[in-house]
Amino acid sequence: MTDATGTPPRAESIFRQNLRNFAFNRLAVASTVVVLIFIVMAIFAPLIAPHDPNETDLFRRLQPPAWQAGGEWSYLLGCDGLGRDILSRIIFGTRISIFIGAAVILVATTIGILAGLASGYLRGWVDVVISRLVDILLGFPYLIFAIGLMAMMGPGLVNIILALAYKEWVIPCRVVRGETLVTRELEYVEAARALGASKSHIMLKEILPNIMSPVIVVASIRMAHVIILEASLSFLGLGVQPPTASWGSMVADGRAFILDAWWVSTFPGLAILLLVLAINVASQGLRDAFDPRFHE
Amino acid sequence: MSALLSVKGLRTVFETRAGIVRAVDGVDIEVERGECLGVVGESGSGKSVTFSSVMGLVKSPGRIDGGELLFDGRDLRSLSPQELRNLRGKDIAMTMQDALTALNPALTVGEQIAEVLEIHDASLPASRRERRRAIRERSVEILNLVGIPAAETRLGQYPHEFSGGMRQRIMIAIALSCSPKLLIADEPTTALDVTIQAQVLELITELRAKLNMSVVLITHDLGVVAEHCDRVIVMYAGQVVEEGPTREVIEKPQHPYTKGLLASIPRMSLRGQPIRPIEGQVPDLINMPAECRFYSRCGVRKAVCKSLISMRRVGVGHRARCVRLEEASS
Repeated sequence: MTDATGTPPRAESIFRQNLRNFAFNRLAVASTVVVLIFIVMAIFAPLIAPHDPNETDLFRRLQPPAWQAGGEWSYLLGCDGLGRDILSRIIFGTRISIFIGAAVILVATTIGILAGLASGYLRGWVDVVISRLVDILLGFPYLIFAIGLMAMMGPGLVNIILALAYKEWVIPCRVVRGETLVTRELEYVEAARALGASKSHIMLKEILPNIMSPVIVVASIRMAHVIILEASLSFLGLGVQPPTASWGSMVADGRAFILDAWWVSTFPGLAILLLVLAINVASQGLRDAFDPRFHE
Repeated sequence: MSALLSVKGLRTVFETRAGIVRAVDGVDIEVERGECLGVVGESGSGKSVTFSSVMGLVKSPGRIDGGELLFDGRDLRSLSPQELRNLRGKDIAMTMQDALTALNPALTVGEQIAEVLEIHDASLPASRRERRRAIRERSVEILNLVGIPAAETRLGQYPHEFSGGMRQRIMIAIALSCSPKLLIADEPTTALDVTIQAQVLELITELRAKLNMSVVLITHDLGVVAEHCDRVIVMYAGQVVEEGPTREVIEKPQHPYTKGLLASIPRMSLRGQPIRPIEGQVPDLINMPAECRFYSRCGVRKAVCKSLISMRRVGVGHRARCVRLEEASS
């Protein structure tokens, strides 16, 4: 909060203290840097990629990575079955993974927060309806559910996001509902009611700011899951349609040559591993910093 | 002029699995304009529930079972939830027992005062910038009123950066921000140490005169009542057992429970003597027998006390729920 008198803001919210705690965890900070590098790669893909990711060259079919016999330094990680540069495709594939991951989490968390607040604060039939819906959705295996939806809606970027968000919202919803149930009984919520605040005001302005920490932590952990799910859908051919580069479909492309040309599947697989691992470690760090039980 | 708040025959019950708990059972209270009314009683006597009922804040499984609530001539029980919400915080404000938990830890003090003004103050200018400046000015003014120094900078701070007494002041500031006609202070001093208690009560008394509002002081401390209240109501097991002008009740208590409360206060004049607590427990509020509620603990009970006892007049404005008074006065 800026001060009208120009005095520096002395205030430090618990949220900001948590962020400072986070900064002391070196592994988590390093992982965050890795995630940030991936994000920068996604944003500036056309500037960073050495080649056009969709440009085929039959003379370079299954060209090995640069350090192997027959490799070239301008095609660092080699080429795939159609002679496309794998490094460039991985760089462009980052866009799909991160965009879909972020979009799904954004949509799912927004829905989850609203549904969780409503069911946790309003209780009654609203809670019954939302909680039962959550139970039902949790009963479905995630991937099969997504495959079914993709089969119904057809492939496409927006459809993938919808298919994943359709079920993903239950995760933040349960977290928010649980936290809301605890928070609604606290005295400051009672005090707000005594001051004449409306229900929506209490939910969004009194309760929500107090439960944001676990929501952020869960969102970051789930982002890694969503990225894997998107890769799985693409691997099954239900994701982004070719020739658009996606890590999952790149791994699938390499299946046919896995014995002769290991690099086609391996490098996009490693990219998935690295990004998901980085997100997981970073979110573990977030959890440690934001969960008071881990404070010494 | 009629009383500001008039409660008649209020009954609030809680339906629990064990049975119906009659937390408030036929309570009559009048709060006059500009007066300070003390409400005394031990935990579970129904003093907080009575005023939660007035505010319409009784939570499920509790509900108001009967009675009349008139505030400034309006029937509170017939108001819609929306109308009641407009009334809360604007005309009737309440401060909670523990100021540490009653302030939202995620919002700055300034934000929390601004909220109330945003909800209730219709006189704020429409344009956003002027609105924000007006709110800021009002907030600083209110913090100055409750004696918080450096209000400008403190507005941007979070509740955990304040001491206990300061937090209670902030609670009062928030409650007073829309100049209510009635302030209900629910045990404003229980979480504070004695010197700060005195300061906070001084502040409430001072602001009552300055803003010409009525104050209901809910407490279990008769000392607080003696110093700050015009009138006092003693509650026991969901009923009013004695009410009257503070001096009279304290100097000439009529009900054995009030006497017991006064006897259990340590006093310098009784140095060396053991404190005499009231023996026994508050009766079970679920299966209340049709007798005097203090029967099981009363030292002067007799056969007549096995029937329902009504309030009897003792003096001007002084009434008590005991059959023994006639004997005492005659």
